[in-house]
Amino acid sequence: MPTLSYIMVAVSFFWLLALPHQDYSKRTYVSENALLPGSANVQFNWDDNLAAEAYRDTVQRIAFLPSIERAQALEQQFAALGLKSATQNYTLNTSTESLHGVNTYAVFYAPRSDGTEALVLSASWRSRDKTTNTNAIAMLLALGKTFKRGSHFSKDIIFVVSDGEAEGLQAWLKAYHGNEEHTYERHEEPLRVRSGAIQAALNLDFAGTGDYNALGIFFEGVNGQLPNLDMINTINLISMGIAPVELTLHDELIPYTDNMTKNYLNSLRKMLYQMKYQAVGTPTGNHGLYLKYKIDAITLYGIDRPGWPSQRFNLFRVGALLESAVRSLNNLLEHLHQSFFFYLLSDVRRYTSIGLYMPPVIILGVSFIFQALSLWGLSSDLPLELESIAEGDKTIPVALPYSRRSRNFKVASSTMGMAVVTGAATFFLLTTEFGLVGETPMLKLVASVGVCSMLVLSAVSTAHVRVRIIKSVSTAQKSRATHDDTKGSSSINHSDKTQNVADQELTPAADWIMLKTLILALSALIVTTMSALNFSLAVSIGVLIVLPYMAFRPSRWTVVSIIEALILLAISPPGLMMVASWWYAKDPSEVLSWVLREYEILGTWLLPTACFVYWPLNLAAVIMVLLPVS
Amino acid sequence: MRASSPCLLLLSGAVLALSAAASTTTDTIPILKAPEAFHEQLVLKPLNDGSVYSHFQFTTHIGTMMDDDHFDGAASNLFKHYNLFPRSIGQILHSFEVEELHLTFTQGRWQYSDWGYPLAPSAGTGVELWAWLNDDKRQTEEHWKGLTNTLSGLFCASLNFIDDTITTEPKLSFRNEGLYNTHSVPTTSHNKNNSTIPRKLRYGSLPHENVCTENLTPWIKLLPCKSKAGIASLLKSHKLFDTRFYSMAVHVRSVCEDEKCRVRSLELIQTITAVFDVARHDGSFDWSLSGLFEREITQSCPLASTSKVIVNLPQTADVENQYSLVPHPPQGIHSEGSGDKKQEIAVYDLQKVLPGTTSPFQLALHWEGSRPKLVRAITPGIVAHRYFTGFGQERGGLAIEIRNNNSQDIEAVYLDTLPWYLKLYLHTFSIQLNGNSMDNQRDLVQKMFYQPAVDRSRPAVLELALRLPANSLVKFTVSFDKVFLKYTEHRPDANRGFDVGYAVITAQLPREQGQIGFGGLDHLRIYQEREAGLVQGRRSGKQEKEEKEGETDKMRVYTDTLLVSLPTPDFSMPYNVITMTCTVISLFFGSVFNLMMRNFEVVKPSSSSSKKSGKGKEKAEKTE
Repeated sequence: MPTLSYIMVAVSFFWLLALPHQDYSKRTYVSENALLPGSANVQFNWDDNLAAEAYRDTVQRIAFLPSIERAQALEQQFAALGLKSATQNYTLNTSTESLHGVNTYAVFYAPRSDGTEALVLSASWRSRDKTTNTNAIAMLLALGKTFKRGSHFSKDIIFVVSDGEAEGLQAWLKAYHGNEEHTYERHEEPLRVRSGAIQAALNLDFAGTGDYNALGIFFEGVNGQLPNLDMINTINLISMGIAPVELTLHDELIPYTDNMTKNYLNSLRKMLYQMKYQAVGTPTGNHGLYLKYKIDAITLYGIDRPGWPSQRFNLFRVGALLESAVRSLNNLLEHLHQSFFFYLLSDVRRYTSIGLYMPPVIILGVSFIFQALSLWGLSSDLPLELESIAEGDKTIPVALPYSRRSRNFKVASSTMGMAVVTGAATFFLLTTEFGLVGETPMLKLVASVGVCSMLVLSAVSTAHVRVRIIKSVSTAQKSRATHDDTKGSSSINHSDKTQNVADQELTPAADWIMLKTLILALSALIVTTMSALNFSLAVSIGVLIVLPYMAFRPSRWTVVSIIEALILLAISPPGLMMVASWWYAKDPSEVLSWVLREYEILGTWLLPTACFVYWPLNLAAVIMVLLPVS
Repeated sequence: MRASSPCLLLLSGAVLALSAAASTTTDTIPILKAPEAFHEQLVLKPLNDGSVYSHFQFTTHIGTMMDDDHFDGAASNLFKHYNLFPRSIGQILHSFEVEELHLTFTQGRWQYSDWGYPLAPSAGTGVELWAWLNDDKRQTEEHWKGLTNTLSGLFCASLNFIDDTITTEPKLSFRNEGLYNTHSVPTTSHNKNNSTIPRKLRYGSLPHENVCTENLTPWIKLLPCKSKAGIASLLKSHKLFDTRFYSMAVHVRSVCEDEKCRVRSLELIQTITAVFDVARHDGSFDWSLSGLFEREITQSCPLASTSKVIVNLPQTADVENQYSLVPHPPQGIHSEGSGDKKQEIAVYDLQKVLPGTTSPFQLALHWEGSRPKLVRAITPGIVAHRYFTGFGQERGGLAIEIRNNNSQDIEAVYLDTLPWYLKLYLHTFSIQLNGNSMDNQRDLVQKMFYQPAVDRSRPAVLELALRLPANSLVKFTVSFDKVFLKYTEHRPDANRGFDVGYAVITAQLPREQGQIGFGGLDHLRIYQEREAGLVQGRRSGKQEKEEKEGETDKMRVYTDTLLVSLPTPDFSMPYNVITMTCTVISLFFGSVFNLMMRNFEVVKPSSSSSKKSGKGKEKAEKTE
């Protein structure tokens, strides 16, 4: 069984690596027939382009005003177009910082529509590039002007210009759904203008005032949620037809190549990029916030890469593309539901569906289970026979049927329990503000690492002491027995053997076996459960822990045990944090405060998962390798 | 008892005959000589946001229905002989014993905060039908069903879908408009006795019903001149359905024709309301009649008693002479109200304007610089906003915000009908006044009627009698659970969700500026020369009262309709299962059948020479 589980791990790894390969992915296609991408004539003309350029100047002029003033200036611009516009104040106090901002939003009421459905076009003041999102905001205004002319919209169109990074749009979305809070930590002003249920959203990110080489699509949402694939397919078709632009995933431009290996490597890179964002749970843009509300959304990002060979495009092309996309989404008769919600993209036009990518992670989970089962069986097997039948002079050892060694679960369960409690304590320590002087997240983490090491030390030392005591007791018994034997007569051999057998009967399986069984079973549970919620997170956890957790066991040589413990420490949350800070050349405290911030603002699962699930398992594993062998 | 109740307005001929027998005192009152009359009017008003409001109103009234004392027998002809009154409507009224009927088709949302209140009383998106039915024979249910089905056929609309799961009987809203209308004296003994007639209200609405030309055509057919002559010749569907708001209605009610309500007539009012977005293309607020409708009025309807175009001029503030109206009305511009409420009105009598010339009637309004410089802002008395809170398909909440902009407390009635698949939790009902939650809800909600929903048979109805404090924002919230429907109960477009109809707020509002007309449909009676004296007389009579409390109008404010998404199964799954099983079965059946029926034979090598002939033989066997 152990060999089988290692084979399964190998199969799973190879399967995962095969996923980006061309033969495993299919070409994307528009599944929802109502969308009819690019079939409507585009109204966005040169006059609108001129208007967009004029708006660009306006936006540039107001961009550096204080939040409230620029929001009001924008509100007036929207109102001048004949749209209902308003502003929204919000305040967000996290454990480390205080954020305040003002959102502007405007609603275009579709003529003769009942206003039950709406589409959102949004842009935040700050682009991904940390510069002003000038072109995107100008584009919103110009599109508002274009849409006002038409009478063929069946859905209202809401324009949102959010302040800050993600928190602004989040405050707006919360208030739109009537969930605004009025506490000290979070304060969101209720909205004054509303429309119907939002069906889909496009988030624009066109930084600066220049032209662009290509259009990047960002689609990963909070906690690995994904929008319906038809959102991407729609843009895809439009970018090939009515508004020709070069399209890519994320902000990476990869030259076309015929080379198989290169293609594979490019696909792998794209897929890893997606999986990285999904696993961390951070949205790649403001579109990610919509997904929680069951609104399909993507971010369109203008990539400006001077020197790139593709044809550059300006606001005119962007306007045509966006109008066509909105018209296409406007055609929707139902909420987007036809196409895939679970997919991995290896290219903007190639996808791998859930049916293909789920098996490897399930196989991984099963390999954990197999290993755990084999250990579980081992723990009850009797290493020696209980009864001996005398056959003449010789005694033949015979196993007693249905006899099993008793399993002692106390140490394993209490260790695991303690580890979970420690993880939970770490979580609360990190997320609560105590108001102490010089209180930083890093300090808190160091404190919790200290607590954890205390736990490990105490658990390991007690276990060792306990084993010593048991050993001394048994040796004392043994010596007493041999003493009796020498006093008595006949077969020393025989009595010694029975005594041995009795000893074995007394001592249950070693604690580390029980603990390892528990760890493996829990790992299987976590990896398989999580694969349904956030595939990428499940895969990364699974791949990271599968070999160490399966292979490591206490060794007779202390050095080996210590090396194992060190490796486990390296893949523990603080260890991974150090690795990440080294990889991105950042201060570890920055990485930590980033994780905290993401949790507090967006509610990503990374911190809770690390504290409640991953770290306890890791701690238990460290304890396991340091436990006495016998 | 029946015969002695003198003020019965019974539309069935049989009962009328009965009541004719009774006679007590005599009094000399004018008898309307014309048993039928038709009036056509068009009201135009430029709105502040550059749109142009147009309201067509065609009034046909029939019979001089008198009370028993003055019954002259002429009314017994009612529903036996049709001249101007459309027969199709008359027969419906007669056979289903309908006393009052209101049917409105609406597409688009009325923007109360920009446009004020419309003349037509109903403005909720979709179709709204309500009727008061005579319950003498206790056949209301059958009559209502018959009525909805007949109207469905008449107007080519899905009115037959107004079944028990949609129909409600509001307790406070949608009161009888006929004999209780503003022109009757409410305290006479006649009206008191009226309440003894067993009458039942039925109300139903379809929020997602689309309105288009197929509904307009039968509507036009009800007019005496169709769209051949008169104001109705402007009704070109291409232009009417390219507007921001379109509403079309049929109202039937009995009204009083004199002060003491002794002479009555049955009134059929047909209205079309359209809001044109003239500034859409070039941003210019100028408009002309031919530009709006792409048609012209060449003659007034010869059958019409009056035929008028009424322009409510823009309420410009401070800056004078911002616009010019071409041509200037022959009778000059008169004004209603004073101060802030002043409304200048230009009236064109088509029967006087058109006969003199051969050219069609022209009308245009030009702004200086094609846009107004300054217009008086509109503050509608009550604005309501209703929306769903929460997300996900398991539970949700409903929030209603009602803003009272008046400087006085307003009595209002709130009516909300929610489909049975939203399980309302009344204990979660809470009220906020200006953002603070209220402990004592009694101050605000004076009465509450709640009819819990019954699964698959009736909707939940929540009706509140409210007292809205002056200048306040009242917010109600209530939570609900979403029901998991049976898979056959989903519509074909299951993932779209279900439409939840509007809520209606009925309130007596003081006449603030921004209202297009006063008194709703009755507003235009002044221009019908029908009982202008009556209206004016009542106005002047009420002058003293007016000074004290100001005039009020009964207004209905409609909220937007909503879309709720219920838990929806993946409908492709049953399809997959079906295709899968079918494939397996066909493969299994095919192979088994093949194995059972096919006969394997060894082909003898000796007949290699006669291969061709052998094959031919096989073929021959098969064909046999």
